[in-house]
This record gives sequence, C-alpha cells and structure tokens, in this order.
Amino acid sequence: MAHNRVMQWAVLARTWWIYDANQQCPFRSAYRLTTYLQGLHKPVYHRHGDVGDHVVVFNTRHIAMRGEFWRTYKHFHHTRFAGGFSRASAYRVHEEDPTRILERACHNRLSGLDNKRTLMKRLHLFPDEEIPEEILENVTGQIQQVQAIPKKLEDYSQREIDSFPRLFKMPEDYDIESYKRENRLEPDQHTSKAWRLK
Amino acid sequence: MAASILKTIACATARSTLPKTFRISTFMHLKVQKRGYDQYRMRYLKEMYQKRLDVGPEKQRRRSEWINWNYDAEIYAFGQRLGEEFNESTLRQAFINRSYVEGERKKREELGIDIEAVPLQLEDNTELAEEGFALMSSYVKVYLRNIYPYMFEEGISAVHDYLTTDKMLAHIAKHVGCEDLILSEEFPVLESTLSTAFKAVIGALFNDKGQEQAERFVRDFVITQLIEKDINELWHIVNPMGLLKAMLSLNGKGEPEPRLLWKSGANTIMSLYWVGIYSDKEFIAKSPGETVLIAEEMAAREAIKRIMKTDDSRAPLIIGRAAENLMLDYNRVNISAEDIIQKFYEKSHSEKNSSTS
Amino acid sequence: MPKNPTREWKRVMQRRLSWHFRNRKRNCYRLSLCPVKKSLRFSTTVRPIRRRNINHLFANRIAAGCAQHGVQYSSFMRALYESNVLLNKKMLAQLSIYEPRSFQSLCEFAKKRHTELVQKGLATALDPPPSGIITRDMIKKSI
Repeated sequence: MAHNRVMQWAVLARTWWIYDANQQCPFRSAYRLTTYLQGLHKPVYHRHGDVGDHVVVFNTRHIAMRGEFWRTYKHFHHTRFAGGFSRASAYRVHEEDPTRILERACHNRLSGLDNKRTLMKRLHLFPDEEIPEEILENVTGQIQQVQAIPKKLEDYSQREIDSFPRLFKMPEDYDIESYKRENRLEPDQHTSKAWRLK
Repeated sequence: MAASILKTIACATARSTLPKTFRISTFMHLKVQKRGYDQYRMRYLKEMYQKRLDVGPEKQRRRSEWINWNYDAEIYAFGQRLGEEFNESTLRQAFINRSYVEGERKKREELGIDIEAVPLQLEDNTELAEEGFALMSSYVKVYLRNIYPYMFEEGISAVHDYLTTDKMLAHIAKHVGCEDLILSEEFPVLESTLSTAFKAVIGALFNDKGQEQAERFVRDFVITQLIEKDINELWHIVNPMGLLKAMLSLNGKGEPEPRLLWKSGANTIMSLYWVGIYSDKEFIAKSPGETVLIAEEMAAREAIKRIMKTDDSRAPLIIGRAAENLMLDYNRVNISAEDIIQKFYEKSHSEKNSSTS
Repeated sequence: MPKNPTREWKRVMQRRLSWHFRNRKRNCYRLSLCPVKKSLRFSTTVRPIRRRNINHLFANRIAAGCAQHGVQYSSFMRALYESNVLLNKKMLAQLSIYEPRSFQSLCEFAKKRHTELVQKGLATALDPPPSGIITRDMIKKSI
C-alpha cells in the first residue's frame, strides 16, 4: 500500500520548532536548542545522518544573563592582522546586534562538528516578536523554556509596591539618575580605547 | 623412538596418497610454504591468470555432466532432505519436463527406432503439476481466508497471485534443490520449468501421501514466503476513500471525514501533513504524507487496513508446529470489496429515487 | 617477469594493505610504504575510540527515546539494571527506533520503579499504578 513510504517520510521530514527567548539564559537555551538542531531528540539520531530540525527563536533582545555576566562575559575577535584583536562585553555586543549572543552561544555549543555551518543555517533568530509569515507557517512544535520568567517590578501594581515592607528610605537628595549609563557623558571608561567595539 | 617411527610412517602415507601428477596440476597454488617463496609460483599464477582472460569464463554445465553424479542417490536425498517420503517413481516423473520427453522421441526418430515397437516409457510432469497447482492454489486461499477472516476477497487473491507466480515458485524450487534434478532440453533451466517441477513435486506428494501431507508441504515452503512481507502492499486499492465510504455507510455509520491533525514545514520542500479520518466524530485512522491529498489517501488506506485487521500490529502467521492443530474452514469465502461497492451504489440510488419521488 | 620472486611477493603483500587508499599511494609501492605504516598505527589507536563512539551513539538514542516519555537516561538505565531486565544498550537503542511501543512500556516501568526508589515505599501509597505493571514494592505490600 505504499504506506511504509510515508511513514519513512514522516520520520525523516524536518520539523520546525519555536522558542521564546524572553528572560532566558542564552547558554542554557543554547544547550537545549542545539539538541534539536542536531536531532539528538530523535531515536534515529546519528552524527552523520542529517536528521536535525529547524528552530525559530524570537525575543532574543530580551534574554537574561545572571550575575555580572552582561559586563564580564566577553566576545573576542581577531582579524588575523597585526593589532587586529578586539573584544567586547556582552552588553555592547547585544546593543550592536540583539541576536548575536544567542547565535554565538549555539555556535560554541556545536564546536567540533563537521556540519556546524549547516546546522547553524537551520537556526532562525529574531530580536522581537515579529516573525515573517512564511516562516511562522512552517512551525509545528514549541520548545519548553529553560527557566521560569521572573515577575518584573513594572508588573506589580503601585499599591503592591507601596504595601511591601521597607527596611529604610533613601534620602531625598540621593543621586541615582546620574549613575545610570544613558545619562553618563563617557560611558565606557573602564574599557581601554584600543579594545572598544568600533 | 616409537614416536619418530610413527611420524615417518605418517609422512610417507600422506605423500603416497596423492598421485604425483594430480598434486602438481591442481594443488600447486594452494600449497602453503613456510619459508621463502617458490621460484616458479608467481610466473605460474600469472600464466594461469592470462590464460583465463584469453579463454574467457568457464562454460556453464549441467551437474550431471560431472563425473561424480548419481541420479538415484540424488533423488533419494531430495526426499530425505525435505523430510518427506516420496514414492521414487512419482518423484522421478515430477522432474521430467515435457521438452525432455519430446527431445528423447526426436532422438529415437533420428536413429530410426520405431516408437510403437519399443515404446518410450517416459511420462512428463504436466499432469502432476496441474494436480499440484490445483491443491496449492486452493490451500493457499483457504489458509489466508482463515488467518485473515476480515480481509477482502480481492486482497486474498492478490496475495495468492503473488505466492503462485512462476518467479516465486522458481525461487523456492531453486533453493529446495530442484534445479539439478530436472530433466529438460534447455539449459540453464527456465523459470517456468522450475515452477512446473515444483508444482509437480506437490502433486507427487499429494498422490503418494495424501492431501494433508501435501498441504503441510505447501504451508512449510510456499506460505512461509510471506514472512517479513507486508501483505497490504500486495493489493493495490485504486480508490480507497470510495471503498471506505461504502463500508461505513453499509455498517450504518456516518461518512468518513478527513481532518488535518497537524502539519510541519508547509512552505518547504520537506512538508509533512498528518491527516486523520473520523466518522461520527470517532477517530478511525491517521497517516502522514507530503501533501494533504497524499496524506488523506494514505489515511483511507490505513483505515481499510484497520477494518481488515491486517494493520501493523497484527499477529504473526501461524506456521510450523503451531499450525498442526489449525481448524481450517474449507468452505469459507470472505467479503468481496466489489460486492460492497455495488450494494452501496444500489442503496444510494434507491435513496435518491425515493427522495425525488 | 621479475628476477626475484621474493620481491614481487613482498609487493603483493604491500598492495593488500594499500588497495583502499587514494591516488598513487594505492598502486605505487614506494609511495605506499609510509601511509601503510601510518594506517596500521591508526588502526590500533582507533580500536577503543570506535568502541566508545558506538557506545555514545547507543546512549544518545536511548536518551532520546526516554525523553519522549519523560524519563531521564540515568534513572531509566538504573531502574532496568536493578530490576534484572537484561537488555543491553544496543538492544534498547534498537527497541527505541523500531519498537516504540515496547520501549514506551519499558519507560513506564522505569518511571514507576524510579519513583519507588526515590520515595522508598511511599510510591504505591501515593498514586495508583498504571495497569499491567507489577513491581517489588507492590508485592511486598500485598503480603
């Protein structure tokens, strides 16, 4: 009945998965996403068998890093010319390209594989919630997020904030605003000039 | 002392058992040398290789052309191999093809021997083959009908046709060892000749040992060819959805309703659709496909498989010792798909007429 | 014809080891000497590596099968091992591909067994077992 033919097709056809990166750790997300890219979630997995799936990721602008990682986690690059080395903190890279950090994280996860470039082409990253219609039509399944989304301060009502017990009150002349990065005159003073991102 | 004497005797006997000429001509390249290499061997092998290239491949010969051929022993061994006790004369007759008898007759005519005065006491296997085929054909159908009671008659006959083709029977005959025993004019033996001989063997068994033994033989050698074979692939249904519709309506159920269950990669070349078929909001079967249409058709086939109870989770065939106590109903006839469709059309026509009038 | 047959045989021996190479290393005796030596050395080193790779492949496949039914690989293997289910990794990997239903029932069993191991006899009291699964704790309890 030729039914076995379609069953085989169903096994080998590429599934499209979607992943919401909102408030997710990029490194732990990469661990999960590369599993799907390589096809490690299928029992028919083989390193040289091309059984990986497509993964669509959105909201990469809103990823979250723990601790001081936004500042201390560095991205390196060398142009192979003398003096061509440059490095940048994660937050600078994120400002330049909001999909870059997740892409690099996945790329590093796949290191050592011959088919790394092919697999990376199956990873579709979008900074915000807008995904092209023709890509969204392909999507079938959803990948579970790696961590629960924490509630932000803005999500609480003013009444809840007010009723929250306070240990102490800030003095009225205490200057918070000028320490914020967008209000500083020369923000990247801690990075030496040669290493700053152009 | 004694050991050394024994050793010398053994060496002497080993050397004397092989004649000198024989050893040099055939065993030269097989002899394993312990130290160094013979001066001649490479030259000898190259020479032989070149000769083989010049002469071409070995001519195909009948097994009976070789010197160590004993037809009586082989005929006896054939029955013993299969664990059957044949009557020797019938078994001999089963392997005589018509072409062989005609060839013998022609030879006698050429030699000028009068056939009426000295009759040619050879009978070919045509009659035996007819008997054997009739038995095999009927038993295969009876067996399949009883094992798959819900399968349609068309499907049963498709499987039957698959098992009784010349190609399949020739395959069995070859591997049972009929090829060397067959007496026929042409060589190498044709597929049709092989299959006729195999049918005749069944006929011979039927004559000698009765129906039950012959049926057991068919079960052991012919029906076992279905192992690891998907019987659903043997019968091609042209319009599965039409058949499904007819069956459901005759069983008093609602029309089959295909629904798209899920899809993936719809805009890509590797698109995948899963279509499920429902009747009266009840799930019947589902199947994948490259397009919606293919998936729908495949789901209909899957539903028919379910109804015939020949889906993938079916029980294995009952063969071997388990089949000894099988109670087969010889008069059983399964439902025919054609009948169902005809009934469905009559029913729908009458409904239409009643509604218009 | 070569004058020295020993030399010819030596070359035949060498060609037996180099027939699967590429380019001139395949046929030229002198060029094949070094690669043949190297390949023999490789064949020794690769023996344990090959075994390890195959083992990893089986583990990956079983883990993928387990993940479909919500079991972890380690707890699955442990549950089977402690219940004397004598299926090796190779057969489990094959089951996960070709017999998903059998593998699913193994997973269900492993889940039940694992909760028993973790909760120490409380599992049977907490929730009703799935049909068709009998484990050691349940037998003890009924006695």
